[in-house]
Amino acid sequence: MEDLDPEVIRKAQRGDMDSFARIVQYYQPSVFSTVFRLVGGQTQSEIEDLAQDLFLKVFRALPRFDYGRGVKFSTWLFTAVKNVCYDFLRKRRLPTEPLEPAFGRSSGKEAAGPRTDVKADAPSAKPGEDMLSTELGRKIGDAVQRLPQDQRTAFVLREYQGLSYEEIAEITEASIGTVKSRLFRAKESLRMILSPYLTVR
Amino acid sequence: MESNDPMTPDDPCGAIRRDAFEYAADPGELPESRRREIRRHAEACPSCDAHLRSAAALEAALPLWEAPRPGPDFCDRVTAAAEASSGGGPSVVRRLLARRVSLPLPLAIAAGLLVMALLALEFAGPGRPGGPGAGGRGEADFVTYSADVAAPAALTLVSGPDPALVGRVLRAGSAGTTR
Repeated sequence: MEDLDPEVIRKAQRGDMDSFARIVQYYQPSVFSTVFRLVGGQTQSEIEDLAQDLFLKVFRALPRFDYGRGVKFSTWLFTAVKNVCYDFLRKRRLPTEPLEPAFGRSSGKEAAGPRTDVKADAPSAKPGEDMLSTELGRKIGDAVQRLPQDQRTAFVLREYQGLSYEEIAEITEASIGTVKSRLFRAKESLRMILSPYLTVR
Repeated sequence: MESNDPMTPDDPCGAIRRDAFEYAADPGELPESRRREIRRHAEACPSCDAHLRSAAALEAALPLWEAPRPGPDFCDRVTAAAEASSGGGPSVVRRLLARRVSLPLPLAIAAGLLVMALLALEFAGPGRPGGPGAGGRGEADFVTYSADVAAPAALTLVSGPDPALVGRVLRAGSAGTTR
């Protein structure tokens, strides 16, 4: 992700509200969508509240951001996003349904998996391509929410924000190898969960 | 892990599957030599071929999961709340007050008198401390009201508005006017 002009960040650090507004304006789409994807299942207004709280925390912590450490501002920002989302999930105690391991299980387990009940309402109805796309999008969202938190974070930051392995490693305080492994496991799980709905060519 | 774990390095099919998503998602990340290996393997291995196609189908579907966008006034609300929390810029209360001052003078005086009259009625009426009904059920109501709403509001005025509260108020306000 391309960082905003460092001069804008520095001005905001000195208390310039116009510069802070530029930060919010620039990062709000990616922050908002990341919050939405990490916490899942919330209403628009709840996501907005959470995103607003996040930006206020960022505003208060801005003077502590140090370019000298060689950290990108977006990496620092997404670390805050991750922390706020994790805090929210911890407080809410949202049940994170443990996912069946994507591998190391017999294929019979997969065939008897929990998604067979919704199988009938997706591809068979064919009410139109848009509707199917929307439905598939929703199913992807549901499946992502079933991923373990660390896999979900790596997956969302990589797939939907295009962050590098190095950035994700920094944000999640993990090694690059661990990040790659989490990504692989996340995608492998999604591939298996969603296979009944995917159009394989 | 069991032997069919794709992470097992001595399992060629596992190694192919480990690279399947990078092969499908971003060909640039894999060297051409590795891509050739994968293609060659998939031609001879229907199972891996199916796996690669399935991985490609997932990669193609991922953009379908769309996220909502923040409301059009989101940035303004965040900035206003930040301004209020910093105490440096004009607070919401100050801006509201400033807006009232801009009323025509006679109207402002009339409004002020009306507010004072309503306050006098409110505090002198039954069921309020200091009024004739003080000490009854009305007092308990007032205490509850005071604890839940009035006290935080008073604190807010002294120490600067709570940003989350300000955000909610502003959003409620904008919902009332724009939605």
